[in-house]
Amino acid sequence: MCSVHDTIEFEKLGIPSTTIITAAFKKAADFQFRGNGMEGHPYVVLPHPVSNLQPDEMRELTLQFVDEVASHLKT
Amino acid sequence: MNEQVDEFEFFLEKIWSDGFPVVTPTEERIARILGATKRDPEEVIGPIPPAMETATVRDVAVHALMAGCRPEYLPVVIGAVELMLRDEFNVNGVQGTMHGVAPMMIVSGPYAAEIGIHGGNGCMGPGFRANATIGRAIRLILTNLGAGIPGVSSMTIFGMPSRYTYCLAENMEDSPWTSLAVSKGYSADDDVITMAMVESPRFCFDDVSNEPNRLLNGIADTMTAMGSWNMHTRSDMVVAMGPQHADICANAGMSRADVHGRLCEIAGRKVGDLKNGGNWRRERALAFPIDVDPDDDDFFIPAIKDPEDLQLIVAGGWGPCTAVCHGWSGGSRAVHGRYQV
Repeated sequence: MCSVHDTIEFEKLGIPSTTIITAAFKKAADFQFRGNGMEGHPYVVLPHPVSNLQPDEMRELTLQFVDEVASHLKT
Repeated sequence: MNEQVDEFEFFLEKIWSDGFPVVTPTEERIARILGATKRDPEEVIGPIPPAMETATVRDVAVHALMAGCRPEYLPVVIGAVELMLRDEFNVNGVQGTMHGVAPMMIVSGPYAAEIGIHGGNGCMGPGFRANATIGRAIRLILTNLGAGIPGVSSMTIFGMPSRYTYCLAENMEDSPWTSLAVSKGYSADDDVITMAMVESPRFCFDDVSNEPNRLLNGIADTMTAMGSWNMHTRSDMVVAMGPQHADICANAGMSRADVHGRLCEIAGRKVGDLKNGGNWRRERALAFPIDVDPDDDDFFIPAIKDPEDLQLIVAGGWGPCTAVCHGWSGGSRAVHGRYQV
C-alpha cells in the first residue's frame, strides 16, 4: 500500500499519478484513497495473483492495461 | 455514557476491536496513567499509517489503558510507538500486507525487569500482564488510529496470534551471554526496545544434541523453510534460544557472537532445493543484496542476507527448545533505541 501513498504524494505535487494493484488489494486501496481525501482517484486493478506469472505472461498482461494506465496520467 | 449502554459491548462492537473487552477509558483512569510520564499529553508522536490518525502522548496513554496496562508500562508503549514509526520499519506496508507479521518487542534493561516484562517460562504466551498489555496497546493503536483492520485496509490472509500481542524480555537470569541490546552497543543499564516485524514462532525442539554443531544445524534448518520469505528476500529474523540450548553452546566455549555468526553461515538452502517449492523466483534472487548465481543449483542461499537482520536472544524457560520467528517480504528493517522512563 506504499504505492497508494506514493500516488497521493505525487498528486499533491501536481504530478499525475496512478497506482497499479491486484484485485485482492482493492479494499485497502479504496480505504487509503478515501482516508487521504482522494476518494474516487483512478487506479488500475489487475487480476490476482500476478506474482506467479512468468515474464512473458506478465508482459502480455501489461499490454492489456497500458492504455488504462496512460489514461489516468493525462492532466 | 448512559445506564442503557453496556460499556464493554460499546467497545467490543467497534470495528477496531481485537475481540477482547477493553478497560473503559474514563477521564480519571486516563489522568492516572498519564501520571506515569513526564511528557506533555498533547505532544505529537506521529501519524499511524495507513489512516494517518495522529497519535499524541494522550492517545497512546488511552490505548495503553484500554489494553489493560498499568501506568508504569506507559513509557515502554510510548517508546515502542516512536520506534515503530521509523521509516525503515515500514509499518505502512505491514498494515496492508497479505502476510501476518507483527511488531515483536524485545525490551531490555532494568526498567523492563522493574515493571515485570517476562522473559522466562511462557514468555510468548498468556499469563504475564506487562507482556500481554504492552503488546496489545501497540495492536490497538495500529487498528484504531492506523485502521489496520482485516478486510478493511489490511489484506492479511490469516493474521497471526502474535497480532494480539507480541512483547517479551530476554531471560537474562539464565542467559550465559549479554543481552541483545548490549550486543548492539548499548550498556546493560540502558532501557532499550528492539522491534522486528516477524511471524509467530515456530519451534526447534532438540533434546538429543549435547554439542553445538548438531544443535545449531537443527536451529538453522528451522530458519530455512521454502515458504519462508527469509529465503526469498532480505528479511529480519528473531531466534530466541531457550537457556538450555544456549548453555550447550556457551559450555562449548561459544560466545553470543560465535552462535550468531554460525547461524548466519549455515542457515540456508541450495538453489536447486529452493526451486522445488515456495516463493522461489530467479528475479527475487537477483535482487538480494548479496552476490548469487540463481542458475547454479548448488549455489547456497543464506536465510540471513545481512548479519544485522538476525536478532538473537535467550528467552523462555528451561527445556530443549529454540523459537524461530521468520520475517516479512516487503522491506522492513528491525529498529532499536532507548526509551524515556
